[in-house]
Amino acid sequence: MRYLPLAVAVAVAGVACHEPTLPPNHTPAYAFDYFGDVFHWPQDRLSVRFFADTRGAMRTYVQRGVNLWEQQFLYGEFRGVLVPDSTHADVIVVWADSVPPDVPPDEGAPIKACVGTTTPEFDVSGVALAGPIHTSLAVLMSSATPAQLAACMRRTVLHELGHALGLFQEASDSLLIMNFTPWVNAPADGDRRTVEVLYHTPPTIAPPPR
Amino acid sequence: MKGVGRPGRWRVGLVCVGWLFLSARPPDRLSAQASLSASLGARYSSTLVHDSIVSPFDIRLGISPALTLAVALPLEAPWTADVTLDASYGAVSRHDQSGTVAPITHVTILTLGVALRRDLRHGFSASAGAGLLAYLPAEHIGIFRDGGGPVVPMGTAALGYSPPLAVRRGLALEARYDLHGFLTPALRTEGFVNSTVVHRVALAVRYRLWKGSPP
Ligand SMILES: [Zn+2]
Repeated sequence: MRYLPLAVAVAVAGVACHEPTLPPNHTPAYAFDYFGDVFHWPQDRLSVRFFADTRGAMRTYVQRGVNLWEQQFLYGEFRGVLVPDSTHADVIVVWADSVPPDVPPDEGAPIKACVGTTTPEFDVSGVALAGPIHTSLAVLMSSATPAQLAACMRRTVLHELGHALGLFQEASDSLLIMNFTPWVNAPADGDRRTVEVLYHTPPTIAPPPR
Repeated sequence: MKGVGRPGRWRVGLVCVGWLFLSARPPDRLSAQASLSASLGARYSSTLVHDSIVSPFDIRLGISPALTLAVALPLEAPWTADVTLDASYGAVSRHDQSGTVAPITHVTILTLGVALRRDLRHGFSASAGAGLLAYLPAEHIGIFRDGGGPVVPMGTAALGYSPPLAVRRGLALEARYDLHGFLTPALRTEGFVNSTVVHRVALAVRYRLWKGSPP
């Protein structure tokens, strides 16, 4: 019994000393700067407010996209939320022209049936955004089935939201969502590493005023 | 540290605790009555994750409230076996070198433990034990994206002090220490191989809620 303090000390000391865990690989898969400048939503602007066109399946695509991008981050770098009013949004996602039918997306081979555009508008200083980031989605191939078009829109919204998060360049790897033409349905490991590094890089482009 | 090193250390801790239990002989009769006590205090936890993306940062759990329920089962004097259920709740955040603090989510940490306590002189007591610990995140996000991870073993030690005036009222001050390995499924997916050894220290006031009547 008199050895209790010694036993406690041995038990504690035996587990107390340890080597630190090794950090994993955080090498980005592609560049994300805009002609040398870097943009990402700063901590004090989270959650980023997304407005999605109320027609068709756009809200579903944008909500899925926000969720998938949120899931790429481990350390509280990004949060997004859908808002019902475009006048209080940081990112506005709309249909450019026609509204595709809201049908379950085709899960077969991807077809380039649509196109997306994301435009950051700079103020006169050139180092701050002037207003919300605008994203639009357009039908490219009217011969595609509604399901193929829905699948294209779903992955292209995800790709365009990547631009809205600050990934201002295209990837050259077709297995990444940020490939010039997105062929995959979710961000890949290279997208995750790249957006992680972006959100730990000091930005040189300020967000738009609120 | 390689992953194979850690189980060895856990073995050291658990073997010692086992030795403690073996050295306290089973009672031939109860020397006191079983009792139930609750303690409330504050707990500090060491860094959960250290990582570096562009610059180094830590993921920490803030100082959090800690609530413990303990059933004390008397053994042969001066020994007591304590069965404890402990809960603490706090905010998990990223702390950058620049001073930025980014919230991730909140988490409840539950432990179930068994400890052997010995009454010492002058109102002091010391205990050591082992148990199981689980992280229950409020949301599945960030490092808890795929949940809080498996239930893990933990080692614990505590020092109690009950001044003469407080003994009759069943009050005591407690300093509790425990340690465990922390690694969530999301961190494993990220490429972490080894658990971080997390040290926790709690200061609490214990109050006896109930005491059994003598046999
Ligand atoms: Zn693009």
